[in-house]
Amino acid sequence: MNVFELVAKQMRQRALSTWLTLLSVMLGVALIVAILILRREGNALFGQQDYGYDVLVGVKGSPLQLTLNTVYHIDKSPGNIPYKTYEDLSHSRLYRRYVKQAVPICVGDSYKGLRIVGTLPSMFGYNDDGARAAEGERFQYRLDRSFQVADGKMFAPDRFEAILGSDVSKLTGLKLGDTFQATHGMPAPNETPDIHKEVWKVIGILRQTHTSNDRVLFIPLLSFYTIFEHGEGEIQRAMLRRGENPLAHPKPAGDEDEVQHYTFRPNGTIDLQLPVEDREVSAILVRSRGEGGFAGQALVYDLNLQPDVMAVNPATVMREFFSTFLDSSAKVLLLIAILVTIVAAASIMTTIYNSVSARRREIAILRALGATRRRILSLICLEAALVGLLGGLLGFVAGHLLGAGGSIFMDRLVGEGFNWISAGAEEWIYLAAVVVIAVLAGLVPGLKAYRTPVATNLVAG
Amino acid sequence: MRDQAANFFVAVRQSGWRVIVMAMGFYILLYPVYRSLDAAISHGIHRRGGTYTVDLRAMSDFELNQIDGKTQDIPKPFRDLDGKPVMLVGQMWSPTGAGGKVRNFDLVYSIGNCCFIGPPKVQHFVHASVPTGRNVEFSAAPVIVSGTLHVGVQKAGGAVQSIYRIDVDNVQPN
Repeated sequence: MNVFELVAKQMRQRALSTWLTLLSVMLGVALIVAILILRREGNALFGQQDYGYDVLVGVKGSPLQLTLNTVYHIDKSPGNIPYKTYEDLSHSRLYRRYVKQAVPICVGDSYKGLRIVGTLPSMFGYNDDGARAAEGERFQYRLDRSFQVADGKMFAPDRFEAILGSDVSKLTGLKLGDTFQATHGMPAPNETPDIHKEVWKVIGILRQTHTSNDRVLFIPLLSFYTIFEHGEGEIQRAMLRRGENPLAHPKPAGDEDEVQHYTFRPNGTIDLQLPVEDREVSAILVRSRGEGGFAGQALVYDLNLQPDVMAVNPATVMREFFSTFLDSSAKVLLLIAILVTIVAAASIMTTIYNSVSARRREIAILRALGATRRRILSLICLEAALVGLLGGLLGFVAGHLLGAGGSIFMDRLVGEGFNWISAGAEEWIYLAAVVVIAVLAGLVPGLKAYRTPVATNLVAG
Repeated sequence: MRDQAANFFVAVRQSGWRVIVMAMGFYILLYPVYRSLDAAISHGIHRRGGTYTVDLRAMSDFELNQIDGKTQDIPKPFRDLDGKPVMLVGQMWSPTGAGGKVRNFDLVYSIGNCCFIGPPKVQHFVHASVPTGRNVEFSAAPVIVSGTLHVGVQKAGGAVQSIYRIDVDNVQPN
């Protein structure tokens, strides 16, 4: 019988306590592996290394809320800014030296729990006439990556048409040619939804981007303003900004379903009657000029001097978010996980110690049959190492399965999962450390076995 | 010789704290003067072997018209660094990357001073490009960047967008 067979026999004899020890090691390792995956992949997921735009413009408030809402389509919209800000950024001489491209977005409605975003064809690299923009002029959602239409065509800027993110069909059942109506806000499950009367027709589906945009329904900005509540709200907020009393603006008489701020032209396009100065946008995505960070930072500085508008660099916001919240939380979790590992090591030590106490006669017989003290010590340490290794490997797999669960959750939340399969160097180092710790834990009972007197224990049996 | 040394130490011991206080006073008073003189004379540029170590703050400490600035408006000592191997110490500013590896970044002497106290100026930014196929780990702490510096006005949108660019060879913690 070789050493491994001997150790396996010992472990089988105490199957229950061996399995319980393996379980405690596995849980400790799984916890740490899951935390390591979360920390590494969380950085990769939210801490994008390749934003296609470097400035977000929105209402003054929380930079994090603006970034999460605009880039990841989570959290509530912090509020609106005048449409004029977009026009200034796009056309005024003042900002021409900083701004290469600006794209406005409007949020506030949903369909079957997925966000509806009002924007322009330029967001997807198309001109208003439906032609594809030149290569260097296309808006990029990530560095060197612009949206592409996988099926159908781009919406016209002034029709009730929609283009869907790649996952929307799967999640809602909508397909090319189908129509849908927008729900106001994001109603809670037990809330009666306020469904707008306007109807959009799906005319295109985007290619997968592996971003939160895959779960968004995009509609023309102009059509977003046609929704009665949007138009009325914008008129009233514009009056407040001008120092006027919104109550002085009489709400149009009649049923809300009958009142509208638009008509159709003979060719079927929307003729919006909402004055441009009353229109608002939720945020503006800006790609600054030049290769470096100067123009973007100068633009951020300039805009932040304005009273109503805030500009942020999304990469910086997410970097600060990570260093402030995620890193600290991960450190606390890591500390807890290390404590769990220590408890698991103590469990290995106790289990084997008890086993050695119960097997003193067996050990004495082994010694009498010619096994040296060192061989007895190595048998015990090998048993501990095997428990550490098996528990570690099971924990490694369990940790990655936890990561898979996290990835599915994030995919549902922001439309992006993460790479839970690959293992980093930290995980392998930790696995090796677990085996070493297990061997060290096995040394205590090992030394007890090493010192077991042969004669006394043989007689005692 | 040994007597002289012994006498010196005896004198220091006798004068005691007065010597130490005077030395500290001289250091506090004269070090800034030395730094100012050194910066004025050398423009923060020192040659070490084949590489020039350049003080980023000195490099950006001049006025430049942000719209119509020309390469000739950049002080000659800095213009002369065009194409030379340099070593710069500063903070990384990555407008498109929130962490991890970055393909390019800007180097500034202090993010707080360059970008938030007053309007950012183009001469405060050195645009660093990492060769294709390579990337560097983003660091919030100051870094030493070595590589080949390119000096010259680059314009876009009717304004100056860059005057310093560096092809990065190496980035290491300061």
